Amino acid sequence: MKIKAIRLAEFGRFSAPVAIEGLSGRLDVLAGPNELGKSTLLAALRLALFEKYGTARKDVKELRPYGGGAPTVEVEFEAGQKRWRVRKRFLAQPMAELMELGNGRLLRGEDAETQLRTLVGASGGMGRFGLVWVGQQGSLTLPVPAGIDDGLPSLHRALQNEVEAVASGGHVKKLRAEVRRRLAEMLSNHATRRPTGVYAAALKSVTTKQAACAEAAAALQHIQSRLDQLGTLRQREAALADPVAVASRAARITTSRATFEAARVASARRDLLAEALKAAEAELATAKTAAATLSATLTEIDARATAETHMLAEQATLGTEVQRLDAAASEHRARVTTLRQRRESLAAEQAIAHTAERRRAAKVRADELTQRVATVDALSQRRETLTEQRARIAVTPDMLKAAERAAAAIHDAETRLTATAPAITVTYALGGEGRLRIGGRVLQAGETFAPSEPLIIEIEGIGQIRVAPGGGTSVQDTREARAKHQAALALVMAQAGVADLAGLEITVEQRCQIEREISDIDARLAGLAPDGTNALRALLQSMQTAANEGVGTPSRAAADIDADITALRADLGETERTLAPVEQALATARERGARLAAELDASRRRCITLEAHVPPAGPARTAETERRNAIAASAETKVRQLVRDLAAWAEQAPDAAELGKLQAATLTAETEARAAETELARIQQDAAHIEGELGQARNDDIEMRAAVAADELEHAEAVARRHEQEVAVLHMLDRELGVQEEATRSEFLAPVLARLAPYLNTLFPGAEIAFDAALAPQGLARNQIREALERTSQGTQEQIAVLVRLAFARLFADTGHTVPLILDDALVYSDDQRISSMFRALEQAAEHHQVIVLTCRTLAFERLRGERVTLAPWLRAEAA
Amino acid sequence: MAFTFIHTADWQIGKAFGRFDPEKAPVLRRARLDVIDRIAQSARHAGAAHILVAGDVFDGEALADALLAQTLARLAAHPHVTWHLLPGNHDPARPGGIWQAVQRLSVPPNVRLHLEPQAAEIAAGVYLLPAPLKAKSTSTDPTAWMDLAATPVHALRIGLAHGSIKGFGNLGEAAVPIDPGRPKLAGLGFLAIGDWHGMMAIGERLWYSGTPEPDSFADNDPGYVLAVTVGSANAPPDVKPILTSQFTWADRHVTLADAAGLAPLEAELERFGPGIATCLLNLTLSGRVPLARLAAIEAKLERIKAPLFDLRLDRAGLSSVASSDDIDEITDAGLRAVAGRLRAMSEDSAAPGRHVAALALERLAALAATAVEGERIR
Repeated sequence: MKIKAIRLAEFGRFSAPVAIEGLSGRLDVLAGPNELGKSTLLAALRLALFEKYGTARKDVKELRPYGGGAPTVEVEFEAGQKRWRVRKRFLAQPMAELMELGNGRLLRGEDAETQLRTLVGASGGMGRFGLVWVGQQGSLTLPVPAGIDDGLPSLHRALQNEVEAVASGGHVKKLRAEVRRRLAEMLSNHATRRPTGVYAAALKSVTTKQAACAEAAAALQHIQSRLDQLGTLRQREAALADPVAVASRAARITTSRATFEAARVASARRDLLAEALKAAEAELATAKTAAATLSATLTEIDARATAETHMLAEQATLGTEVQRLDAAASEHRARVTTLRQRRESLAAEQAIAHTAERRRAAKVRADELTQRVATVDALSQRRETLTEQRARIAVTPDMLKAAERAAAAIHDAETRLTATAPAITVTYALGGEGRLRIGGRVLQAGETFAPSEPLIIEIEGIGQIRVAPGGGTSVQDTREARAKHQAALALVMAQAGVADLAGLEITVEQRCQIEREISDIDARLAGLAPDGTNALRALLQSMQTAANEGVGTPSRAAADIDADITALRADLGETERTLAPVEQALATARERGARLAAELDASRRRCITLEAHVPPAGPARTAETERRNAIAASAETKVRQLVRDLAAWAEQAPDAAELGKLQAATLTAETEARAAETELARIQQDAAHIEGELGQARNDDIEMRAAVAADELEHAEAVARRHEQEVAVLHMLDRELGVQEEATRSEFLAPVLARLAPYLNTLFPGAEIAFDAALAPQGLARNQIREALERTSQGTQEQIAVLVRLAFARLFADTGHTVPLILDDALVYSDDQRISSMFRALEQAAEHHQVIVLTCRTLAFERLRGERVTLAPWLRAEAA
Repeated sequence: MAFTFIHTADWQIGKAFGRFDPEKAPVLRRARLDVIDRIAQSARHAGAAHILVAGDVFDGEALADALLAQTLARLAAHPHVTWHLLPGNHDPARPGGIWQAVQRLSVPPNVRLHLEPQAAEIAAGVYLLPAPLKAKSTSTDPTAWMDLAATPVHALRIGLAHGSIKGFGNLGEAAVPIDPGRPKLAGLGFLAIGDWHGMMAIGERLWYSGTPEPDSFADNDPGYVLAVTVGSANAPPDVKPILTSQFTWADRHVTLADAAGLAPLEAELERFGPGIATCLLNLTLSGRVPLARLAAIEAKLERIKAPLFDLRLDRAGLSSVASSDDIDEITDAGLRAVAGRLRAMSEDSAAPGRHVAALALERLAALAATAVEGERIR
């Protein structure tokens, strides 16, 4: 579409009809001062093309001139290869006419409006025109089609409403909205979508039905179980109540009781016999004991009488033997006494002789000790003398060693000093001899010396030569060391009290000789008095005492006395050995006699006791013996009878364990019979209870409830499955439609970006506009730096907004829906360089679609090429 | 001597029919009582004074006493016949079971309960040998006792049992084996058995009567009682089926290629006339139909459903085929692309969401058509 002319009458600020004629359809520029009415022209154009003539909207009324009238606008344009003219009058006598100028066909009223909508390609509102028409101060915002800015990002919305429509892709969005609406009826909008509405109700119904079904099935199952139990109980009841079984239980009790009673009687009988046997056996034992006791007593009495006879004979023999032994022993005892008396006499004589021997030996020893004591005393005295001498000598070998070390060190130091001293040799010139002196001493010709200390050589009549040996640290240290050793040597000499080192050596030798002599004396003393002088003197004292010990004089030699004693001892020993067996035999005979007497006495007393317990010897004793034997025989017969009886009953009577079993069997039979009765009663009670329960279940119609619940659950599950499937279907549709929506957006954004690129490159070489997922422009990327659009300058924002519009207009043109781009006082924030670039962009755009620039900046826009149009009176307004 | 009686079974009074809508289930339940009247009427027409019910008189063991009382009242309302009731696997005769409950009620004089396997003379020289079940299942043949059952010489012996016939693919639902040779082994003039719910002759003297009022979509000739006349021992019995059912349970499987595939079914249903109101149809659809024909099929199904008592529809086997033309009919390019992807998914046998994709495609087509239609209207 291209606008060729715009004409106004009674419109806004124009009280007189005005017109812009001769628009080229390419780049048309209307430049003029403020308040020329450029914005009014844009408003008129919008009304003519998009507002219905019958409108009474407030903004339309505001376009009525101050002086009143009916705003009238006429626009000539090209569309669809044809030229058209639309004329509309608003408010008063509103009208609309659309004429096809090529053939003069004229449409009026709604026909004109309908045809006009078709020509401009808008079903309502400004449609794509809104994207590319920029009013005053509108260039700072991104294109937002009038009337559809409902909050979505403007570019996104514009693309959806305009660009998709161009490509016939609008149904995807509508269908997806419908799908999502249906989905929302079944799933919540939470992040994790939960069933809602009918779907939730269906799922809840399934849960409810499942619970009901389970409950009913359980109840039915319970009933079935109770029926089974009842059947079992009835069978058991029949078995228990069966007459045969009842009789069997009774017979078992009778039989077991009889068996047990017989066994119990036999056992009792056996036990009684056992007790009687025990008593009879005791009786037999007593009788046997009585007979045996009598027999034993009589036997013992006879034995003892015989024994006593033998003992009396032995007693007589023993008396004779004792008398003989006693006489022999007396003889031996007298001899022993005599010998012992002689031995004592000889022992006294022997003691006197031995004491005299010891006295003589002590005297000899005392004499020897006296000499030794004298020697010891002399040596001790000499040692004290030597010790005093040694004490007076203050010199020690250590001191000598110290003096020798100091002298050697001094000599070493002087040697080193001499080595470093100057060598001076005296030589006199003829006539000059003796004129050289040192310290007044005349130096001799040829004298040579090396002074280690400073010296002055005096030259008579001439002066002095001062010689100072070499200094330095080493010489000084040597001197100091020499002085130190000299001082140490002097100190040793002073302590020793000697003048020189030789004296010191002599003194030390003297001391050593003294010490050697002392050592010799000590060795001799140790040999003479190893335990010390005092011990030696004590020994001497004891010897002297021993020499004076004892009195009397022996009658003969000690050896003789000793020989007599030895002989006597032998005799005595022989006599004592002869006496011992005699004494032993005598003691034995006496002991045996005493024992024999005791035994005889005891036997006699025992016999008296025994005789007291038996009848007197003779017929009475014989009768008693026979009586006791008869009693024992009778008891034995009784025992044998009882043993036979007991064996017979024992065969019939069970042991305790078996009897217990028989008793237990009886009790078991009785217990089981009672248990059967009890069980029977309980079964009848339980059966009655179950039957009552079953009756109640029938009244509750459990069978029907269970069947209905199962069927209802099946139905509910089918419904839930249908809803589940519906959700799956809607989900898949939503997903696929979403994919398609995204693809469509991407598809349509690409052409816009492709068309934006050359314009953008004109102003911002290499720059890119970044769009987010919602297709809203996010920022400008330049030199690899991305800026948010709102952070760029107003000039940049304005330029980008215009460039995006140029891209839209270009897209529309390329898709056969050409729309003129109109800028009203745009580019007000652009600098000179940018505005030049924008002019180039506008000029490029005009090669593809019409661009109409309305501006008040006449000078700034002089460089913009294009057709200059002017506002002129509308001469044919009256005709309109 | 000829003896005529009615053989019926599997009444299953008290069956819940819970999977049906709440207003339909009671109707079906009531029909199981109503059929008693028609059975009595059949007996009158056949000249029979005895009606032998071969088990499963009741559907369960814990039915309400009220229902039992209603049943007895129905039976008592026909004093010209004697009802011989036999416990089956659904209503076994066990202590505390349903028959004990029946006995506690006032059993009418024309109702005889055969709860023990004991021969009973039901008419002069005619002995009924019942094989009542005392449990829901048994591993032994309950009719075995009939071989040695003592009856007078020349007596007519008629067996009555409930179970499945051995060697016949275990016909019937009960785990109760019955020897098909029993009539010969036990010298029976006829053995009337129940459990199969459908009418079937196992031998000339051994029949299943089936249920007199169908209760499922099993295609086994339900809805009849048998009028049986037993003559001499050598002559085969005369068995005449008599229709007694009120409701028709039809099970149909239709393979569709398009909406026209439903035409034979529509014609069949039309032949029901007013009886269509008591017809229950279990319709299983299969096949692959063009996407564009789905709407027409849906519309036809709605028309089919309207007059029926109930329609159970299983269309799991029915899938849509989206042809290129179907896709092309979608004018919106974006929707066309989505439809293309869904079609590919639905035709990919390896795709896990294949079935969902097919349904999604159907839905998309419908939504697209609605959207386009709406736009056209605007």
